[in-house]
Amino acid sequence: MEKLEYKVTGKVKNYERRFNFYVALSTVGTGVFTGLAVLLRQVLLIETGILLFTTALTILAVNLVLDLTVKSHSNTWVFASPPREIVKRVDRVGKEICEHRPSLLEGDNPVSRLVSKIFKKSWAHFAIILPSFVIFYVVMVVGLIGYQKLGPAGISLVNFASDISWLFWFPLLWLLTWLANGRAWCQTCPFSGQAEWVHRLHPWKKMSKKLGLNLRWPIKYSTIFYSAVGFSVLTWMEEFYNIGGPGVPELTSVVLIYIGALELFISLLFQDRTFCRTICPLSAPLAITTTISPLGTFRAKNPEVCKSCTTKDCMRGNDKFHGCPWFASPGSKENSPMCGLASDCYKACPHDNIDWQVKRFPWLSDLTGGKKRFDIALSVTLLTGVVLFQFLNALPFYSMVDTWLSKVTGWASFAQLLVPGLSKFGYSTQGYPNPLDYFAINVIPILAVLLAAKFEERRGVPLKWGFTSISYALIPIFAASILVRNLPKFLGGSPLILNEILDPTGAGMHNSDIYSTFWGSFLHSLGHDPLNATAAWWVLLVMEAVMAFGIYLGIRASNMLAETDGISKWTYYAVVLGFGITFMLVTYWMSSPASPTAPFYNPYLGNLLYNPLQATPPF
Amino acid sequence: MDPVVLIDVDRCVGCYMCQRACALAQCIEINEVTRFAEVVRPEDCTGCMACERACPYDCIVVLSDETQVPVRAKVTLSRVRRYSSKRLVTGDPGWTVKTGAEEMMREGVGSLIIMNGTKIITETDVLEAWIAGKQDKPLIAFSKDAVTIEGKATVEEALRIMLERGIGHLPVLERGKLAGIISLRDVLRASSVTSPILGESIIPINPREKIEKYAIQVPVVGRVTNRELYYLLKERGLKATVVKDRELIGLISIRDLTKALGTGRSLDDMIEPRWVNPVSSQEQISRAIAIMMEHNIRHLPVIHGEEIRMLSIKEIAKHAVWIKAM
Repeated sequence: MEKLEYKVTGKVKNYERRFNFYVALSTVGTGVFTGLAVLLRQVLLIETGILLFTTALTILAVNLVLDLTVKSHSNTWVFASPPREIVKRVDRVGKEICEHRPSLLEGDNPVSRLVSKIFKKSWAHFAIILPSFVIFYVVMVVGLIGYQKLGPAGISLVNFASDISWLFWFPLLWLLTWLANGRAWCQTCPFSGQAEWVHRLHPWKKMSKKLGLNLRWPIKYSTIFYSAVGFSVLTWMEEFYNIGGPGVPELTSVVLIYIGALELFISLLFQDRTFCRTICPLSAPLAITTTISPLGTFRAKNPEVCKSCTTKDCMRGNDKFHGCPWFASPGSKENSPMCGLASDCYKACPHDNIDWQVKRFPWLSDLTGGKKRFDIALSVTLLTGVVLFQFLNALPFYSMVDTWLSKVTGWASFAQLLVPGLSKFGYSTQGYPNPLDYFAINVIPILAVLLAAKFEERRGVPLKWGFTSISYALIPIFAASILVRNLPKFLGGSPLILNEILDPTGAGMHNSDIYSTFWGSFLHSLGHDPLNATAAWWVLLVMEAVMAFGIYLGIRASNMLAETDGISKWTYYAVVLGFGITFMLVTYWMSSPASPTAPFYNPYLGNLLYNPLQATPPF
Repeated sequence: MDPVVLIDVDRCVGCYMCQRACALAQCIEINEVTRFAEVVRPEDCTGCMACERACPYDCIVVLSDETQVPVRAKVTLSRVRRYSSKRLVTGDPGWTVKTGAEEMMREGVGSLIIMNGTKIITETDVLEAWIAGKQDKPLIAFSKDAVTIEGKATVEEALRIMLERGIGHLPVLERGKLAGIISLRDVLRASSVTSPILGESIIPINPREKIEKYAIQVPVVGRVTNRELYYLLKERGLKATVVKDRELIGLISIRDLTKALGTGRSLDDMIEPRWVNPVSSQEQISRAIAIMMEHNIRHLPVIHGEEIRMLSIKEIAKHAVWIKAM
């Protein structure tokens, strides 16, 4: 009997083992590759090596933690199940919220008519991806061949590659939270686009076969937590090489090539968009921001139609159209943040039962419901930690701690091995950011929310459920804070790319010349100072306003969650206000003129109190 | 080993395809609140992998020993819960015996369940109380402890209990709660679709057999009172008997007596038999069963030469459709 049992479960065990074996092999392989690159002193190879190594290591580490903590072979751990009495309440509230919403595909207005017509075309998605595909290939090339030198503040302001990526595209990702939804980027993403074209063997038509092995990601490891950890690790990389400064353009190119190539590789191994959903570093942040966006995703109009549907063309596809590549069937509301807006379901549905709705203010309806994901909660807290780091790193005391730690641990001298040849572009490092303090700051929100959940546990709320629900209230704080941190770049720098459209490589330009260009002088006249990596004083007001809006949404979310989830309103408030006010204060302090002669000067935090007219919000 | 069903809740969208595919065992369902597929009755899972094949997103992996599928399917198909009637006729312990009889009459049943399935009161109990002149006393005083059965038990087990205890109804419990009732008739119906297990066998009835083989001798009564009839039936251990009044032939059973109580007749009133066309004992048993099915009756008068006999459904069951250890 035992032998039989071993044989039967062995099927799954072996699959997991084999998966882990190959990941471990890749980790060792890419580690060795990185080591060789260090010996060869080739910075681009080192960067590639670290990117690949950390990716493999992330997957391996998450798997290892799961193996140690989860005994079964299923992934039921990704959901936090609510206590029984809450289930009923959630059910009732969910029904009350259900109401008519405006839709992008239905309705008798020109926009709906156009959108619904365009998305019925099989080439629609291809046409949406193509422009960004072209732009990002230009970016990859000009990043490698263009002007590389950094300006006096250590950032590059004349190369199209790094500027469009970090002054425009990255802030835009977070602006999308309230312009449309986070996944709107996934709809446009060129990396997944090219991988999908190859995987499907045609840019838009349905072929009878798909290229690659079409393996299934092991069930036990089916979670988007990899993505959040990946985002954290990638942010560390970005800070270390100052890629997003915007820094040396060729480093940006390498990151983009790495994402594109890895996506292509994974799509040839695993099913459809396993990479996009599970591993892509932007998947978790964008899934999280999508839950609070005004624009919804593709969902079923009438669930009863889906219930009686037996063909499930939206998931499986049919002979003319593909099924949902994101494994996010439109039939379920809970999957809405996983919808990558690929529109395949809309084309494939034989019952014309797919809708694309616009949510009602305050756009938080997706947060309620008895089905809350623990891995999303973990991701929210971890990502808030990443943003917290990006705020704290602008304060003087962080530099002191970091420099001291890097010196004590020897990281400062080790770091020099990873950046050979970058000094000729004007880049130098003291080891910032030290991985120890970086990851310590990353886990602060996890610990804070855990503390709040522990407090609620004494009132009889299960710990996992409490943690998950409280983390959900932090989603608006995360969305607002990451946008706030990127606003100075967006408002104070992004028009520079208009200069570079005609001269993308930055040939014949110097960073210090930008104020003689049209858009450079325009920015300067508005009060921005991109050359010194600061924005105009009024950007501080915009930042504080966005952050205040985030806190407002966080409070609204707290009220909604407190009504259904059995947790005290004040616990949510404590966490939301705690982080919200911290972000507002740090925004104010990091924008301080840092002048020791001004009153209220503190060597650790800058000017504690100053006239906002003197603010210099840093890039 | 029991089959293990692994469900990827990251990808599961609650599309009902697995629930649809699990048509035989009906053990995987979409939870209405969480909207996930969930194995609700793991003991019923046969490990057939139909759900795994049906899932559009490959969210399900079934770990099972495929050679065990037919064996498990047989057990699954013979669970009591699949054949028990969900319609429960319950009584209030405080009701009088007469009210109980009225309720039985109105619902057309022979027993009432009281006290959440722990007690049961049958027609015989009601009539005993009537004869003793206690028809205005509360029901609970005449009820008996109910012999119950778990929903996951097999119909063979139910039949064995019924035979050993000599009873015709078993309240069915699911996780300690009353969920239905299974009668001898339900068990016999089930036996026609399940196959015997555990080395036992059902001897099927031969439809061509003559009625005379099953008809039993009963006292033929004429115009008697309810009280006289009850004593007669009790003495002979019968549930019914044949009535002959001049040319008319009919039936009278303890259910008719309960009905008499329910409609307010007295013990000293004359019985009110149901007049039925008798069948010949030389006819095939299948014809008799057809008549009984059509008129929804449990007994039939049989002309056997000069004599009048009676055919009862219980006799057919007792003699023919039995489970025997091999």
